[in-house]
Amino acid sequence: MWQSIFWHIPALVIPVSLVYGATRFENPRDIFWEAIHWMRRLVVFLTTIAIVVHLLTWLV
Amino acid sequence: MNWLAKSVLAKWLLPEQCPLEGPISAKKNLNRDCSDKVRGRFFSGSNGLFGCSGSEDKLQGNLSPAKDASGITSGQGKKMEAGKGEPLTNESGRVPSRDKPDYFAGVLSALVPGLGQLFQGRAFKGWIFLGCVYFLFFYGWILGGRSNVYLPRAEQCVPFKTNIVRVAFGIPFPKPLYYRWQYVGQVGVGIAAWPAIIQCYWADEENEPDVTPPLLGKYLKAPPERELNRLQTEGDASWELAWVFTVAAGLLNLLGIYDALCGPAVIPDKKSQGTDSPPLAKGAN
Repeated sequence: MWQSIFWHIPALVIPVSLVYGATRFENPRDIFWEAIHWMRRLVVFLTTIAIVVHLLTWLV
Repeated sequence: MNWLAKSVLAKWLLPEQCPLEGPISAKKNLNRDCSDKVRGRFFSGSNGLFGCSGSEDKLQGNLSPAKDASGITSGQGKKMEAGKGEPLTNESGRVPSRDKPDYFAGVLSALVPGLGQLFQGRAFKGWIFLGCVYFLFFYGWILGGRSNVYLPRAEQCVPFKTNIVRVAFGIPFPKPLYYRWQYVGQVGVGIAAWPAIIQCYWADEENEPDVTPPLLGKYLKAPPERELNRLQTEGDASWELAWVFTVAAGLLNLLGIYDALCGPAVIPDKKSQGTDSPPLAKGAN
């Protein structure tokens, strides 16, 4: 549990979200809000993928 | 959220204190003007060595805030003309546009993430790009045992002097990249990934594992085959995840290069209305 690779996911999601937000806006406030939106989208996407993979693993 | 960003900009990222001097006295604009004044000094030069000319005008009191707003870029990234012959600026520096790309800043960002934005006076975004891209790159590099950013000579596979590999349909391809295609993405972080090229041509990783170029040491030197096998078979999937991080960092910097070159993407979004962004000028659209 404590050595799971999933603990590294925030280190990927946060920089990606901030950079993506920064490429769309100039205002720091807009950048932060866009980053938060992208964090949510990425977490939902990655969680969905993880669930599907775990289900496939369980089936096989 | 906005006051926090301003405080960070004025006090930490640009550490020089702003003496409240000069003709500007409107408290409402002191914080922003203070940041601009500091930034103008940070990038030095009477007109901003790095292109921060707008802040100097404001400090001289030549532009009132309302007038100033007609010559800058909004928070949504929409472009407005500052006047004939004047650079496009906003409160965070000179913003390029698709009509007038800033090629020099693009090259700077290709060398070091965020350097192009810093050159343009867009310090906040510059630090975001610099911090995030390098954090992701070095986090992945360290997580992968410092052995996932490299270019192999793969001497044992094909003699190095035949440096071209024929791939599908006989298309020639550089052999090091053929055996390590991830480097195509990793090299996007700029000069931090260039030593791998020097290491590749300096010595063979199998027969000369301890031969390294001066100054670089073993930084980004290709590990021997047995070491790679050990990293990939022992432990969990961290090594694979780690090189994904480094490739993601390189690809993210491509977005940063585009931002330095052509400015931010334009998103006509109602969300930004009512923020601290300067109001849109008449006819700006």
